[in-house]
Amino acid sequence: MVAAARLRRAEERARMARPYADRLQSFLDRFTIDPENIPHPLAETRIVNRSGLLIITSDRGLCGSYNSNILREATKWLEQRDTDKTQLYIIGNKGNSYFKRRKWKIAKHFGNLDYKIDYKETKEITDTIANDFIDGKVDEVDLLYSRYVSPAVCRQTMLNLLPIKATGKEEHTGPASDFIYEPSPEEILEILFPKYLYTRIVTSLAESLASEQGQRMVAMSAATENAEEMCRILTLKYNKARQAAITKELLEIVGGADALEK
Amino acid sequence: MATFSEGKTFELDIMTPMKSAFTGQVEYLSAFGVDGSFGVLVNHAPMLSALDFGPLFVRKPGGEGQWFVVCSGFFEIHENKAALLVETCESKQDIDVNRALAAKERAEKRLTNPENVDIDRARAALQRALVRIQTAAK
Repeated sequence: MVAAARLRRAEERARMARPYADRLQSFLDRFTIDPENIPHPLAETRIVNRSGLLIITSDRGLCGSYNSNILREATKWLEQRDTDKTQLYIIGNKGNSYFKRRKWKIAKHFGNLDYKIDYKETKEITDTIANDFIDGKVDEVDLLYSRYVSPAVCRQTMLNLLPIKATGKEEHTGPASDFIYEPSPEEILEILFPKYLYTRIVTSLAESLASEQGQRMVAMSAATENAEEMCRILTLKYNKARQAAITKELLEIVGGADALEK
Repeated sequence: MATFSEGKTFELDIMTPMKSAFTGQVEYLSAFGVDGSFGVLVNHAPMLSALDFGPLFVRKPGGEGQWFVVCSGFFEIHENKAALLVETCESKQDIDVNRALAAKERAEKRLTNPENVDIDRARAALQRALVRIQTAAK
């Protein structure tokens, strides 16, 4: 059961990353609800003219509806927007080959990640998107990934990646200005924002990889079951046909012998 | 060290993107911030601090201490709940001393022979190796 071992690893990876990501989110929320909101190029809210979408798909197929679900959601998102004002960032070969045949613009494709979450690769993805945003090539970037629930269930999840915003769900227990910041809040943000963006992408990738493995395992075990069922039915059919043929031959022989005796 | 805070503890979570490295009550923590090292006892004022690569020390109830090496992240304490979010966290036992020694040697070689060498990178590598070696020896 290679798939099961892979799934276990990917699942653990995704689960382990969650507390870190959630905590980082709460750090961020504390900052952005601070009345003295500090401007940062990654948090700049502009009038949205051009949008970007980062889609996480798989490199390989045979994983059930994993890719088609994501691509359907992506298409829904795209249909609400102008073709010449959107661009896609695609992780995974499946998404790339799907959108290459269609009219939407692919700004960048990252493929062949080989089920690993490699620092260099993920950093490149993060930097590409961050730079496009800072350069004004896109005014907002959303992220579409598969959140892992169980091997059989994953949820296609869309979230705002840029500009960075607080989710606002963090319960605020006291004025943020009571906090001691070391070094200054500006310097902390300088570190926090890129790290937050990176973490968002990495955890989404971890969730998606776990979902993919789960979906693949379920799809493959369903395929095995179907094949076994098919085998059973065909064996039955074959035996019936064989018996029918034997019976027919016997009847012919008996019939022939009877005719000779007469 | 008999102080007013002796025996009183606060909650600490050390989290990395790969795993949860430590969870428990501690009496004292010292870490390496971007602006230098600092220590935290129970009932500390709310604080958020950026961390550099450096050693981290926690003292658990009963006086037992534990050393870690952490890399780049944040420390937060708020109402006696502290969290450390770092890229990597190695406990003293996990440190690969041989690897650190090799890294130290490599970096030193580059620094004494600084042709076609990224000096900053070599310095940073040397710094990391030294912190690991020192922490492992504690």
